[in-house]
Amino acid sequence: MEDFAYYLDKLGEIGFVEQVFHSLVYASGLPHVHPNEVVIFESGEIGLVMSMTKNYVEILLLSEAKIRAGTQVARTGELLKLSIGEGILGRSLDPLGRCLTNPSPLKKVESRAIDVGPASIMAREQVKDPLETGVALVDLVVPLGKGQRELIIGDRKTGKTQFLLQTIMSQAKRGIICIYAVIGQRHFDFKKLEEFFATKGISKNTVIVATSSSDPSGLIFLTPYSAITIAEYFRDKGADVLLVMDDMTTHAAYYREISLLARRFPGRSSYPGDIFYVHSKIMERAGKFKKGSITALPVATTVLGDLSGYLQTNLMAMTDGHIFFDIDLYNRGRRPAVNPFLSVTRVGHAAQTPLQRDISRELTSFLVVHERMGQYMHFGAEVSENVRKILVLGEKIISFFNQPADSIMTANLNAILLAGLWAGVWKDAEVDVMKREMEQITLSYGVDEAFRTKLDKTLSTFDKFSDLVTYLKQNDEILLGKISRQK
Amino acid sequence: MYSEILSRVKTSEEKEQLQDEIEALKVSLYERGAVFEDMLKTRVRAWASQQIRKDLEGGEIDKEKYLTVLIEKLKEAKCVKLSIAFEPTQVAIDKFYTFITGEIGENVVLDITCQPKIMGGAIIIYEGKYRNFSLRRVFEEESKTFNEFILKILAR
Repeated sequence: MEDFAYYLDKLGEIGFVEQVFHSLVYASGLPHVHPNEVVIFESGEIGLVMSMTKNYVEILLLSEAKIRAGTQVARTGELLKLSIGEGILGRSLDPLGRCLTNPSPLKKVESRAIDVGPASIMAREQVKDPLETGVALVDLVVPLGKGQRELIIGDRKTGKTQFLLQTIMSQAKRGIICIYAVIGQRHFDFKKLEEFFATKGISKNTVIVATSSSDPSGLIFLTPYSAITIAEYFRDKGADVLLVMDDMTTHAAYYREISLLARRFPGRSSYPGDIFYVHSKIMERAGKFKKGSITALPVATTVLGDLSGYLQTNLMAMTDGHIFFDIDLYNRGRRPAVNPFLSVTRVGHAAQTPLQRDISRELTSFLVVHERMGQYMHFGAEVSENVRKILVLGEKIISFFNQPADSIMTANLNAILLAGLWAGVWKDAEVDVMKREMEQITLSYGVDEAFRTKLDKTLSTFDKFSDLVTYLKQNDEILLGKISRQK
Repeated sequence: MYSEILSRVKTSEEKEQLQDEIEALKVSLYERGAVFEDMLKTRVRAWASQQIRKDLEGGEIDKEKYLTVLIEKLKEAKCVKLSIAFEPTQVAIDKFYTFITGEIGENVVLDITCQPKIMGGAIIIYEGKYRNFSLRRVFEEESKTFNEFILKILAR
């Protein structure tokens, strides 16, 4: 970007700051300025034009600098653009594209406007490829597809970020580009994220776009826009991209702050009337395209598990489902604390194989029955043998879904372990023993290529879960062969 | 009626001064006794008080309305910011004023600032438009060619 004198000379238009309200500046002059145009102050700071009145231009400040009344401001004639190029992977940027850690220049740089309309329907395709999160419960019950927009919703400290990191780890290891938008969080959180990516060796496939709570509201507001612009850059190169926006409730809170300062009429919960438009415009830019895909995982925070909040319902309406992290389940020790009954995936099943779809259907109905039985047990009723079996199997399945934060389970491994559980491989085993033996199988699946190929081949021959279970009942040595049981 | 007064106001300082005087006059209307007359004599400059007396003579015009409109007209005056390299004399201000009103019409005031660094010429700002006709800019433009020329000479 050039300096103030250059733009003043080039466009020949000048304005003078009349009023300053926190991050909003009102300037007179600039007769031909247009909305979303970048303006530059004589001190070199930049701002974004939000609206114009007969007398004033309303400018959103994108820096901390103290602008005073009387400061000169010039038009640039440009929309807010982000410089993206080769070498962006592994970097941490702010929404204006300034590197927060590695200041070396990018190669083959191209400028992209950050606030553009979404791609047309002709450029899109149906979601058809699965996106494995590496989290067994999600991959089996609420599966995701590449290009899906899935809301990650739940109270604070319920393991949402942990799940997102597992998903990123799972995808980045497969070469998927992962972009993490840290929206107005603590600086410490962003540093932790950087360290996590470096420790897991996935930095080369990730980009962090971060703003901390100490940054100007205008800059925080732009974070998801910049993140999705980077996602579009990779999408246009034919790549599949995973975009995490953590979190959209914070984003909305900052937009509310800006709107109230700008004296916009407050709507429900004091949010401006266009908050749905602002969020849905970002969400619509994600999806499955003829060339590449952008899978968006926006995050929303709830209060006391209330899913009926204004923003929460807005975000649910503009996404293809949601994964609900339940504080009650978290307090009961479930990890991940995903509530399978209140989570929804609208297009994820379309990306599954017939076998996975069948497992998902079977599992969901079983979990419903188990939950009902569990509630029934609260009355202290005597249970039949059949009910007792359901309860025992249910406990084992729940235990199977309890997964350490740093482990990733592949879809095939999930399917075979669950089928083994169903087939009674661990019928008489204690939960601890079952978990240990499952870990042995997981380890063998990871290191023993012949075993892995054999399991994958076995799975590919079945379309129905019941057939797979029957097969495992008759051939349990496939799994038992990898377990060292004490007699 | 107002044009005689407005045409004597050429700079933003003069505008602000006259505006203060008229505001004080307007306040004096609500005080008992001959305060308005006293204010005209003591607070308002001679040429302005003379013109106001002339406009109000006969008593047909409402004083308050007259002063309110005058203040409004002063507020409406468009400001032309002019940066020049020297401290202007009254003759220079008159010349600038005549030229500018000839170009953009009446009810204009000049906000003149002295910036020796522009060397000569002027920078004009009007209604958000910025035009740099300074000598400094000409030098800067020309220096692009000069620099090459000088470097060539030095290289010999």
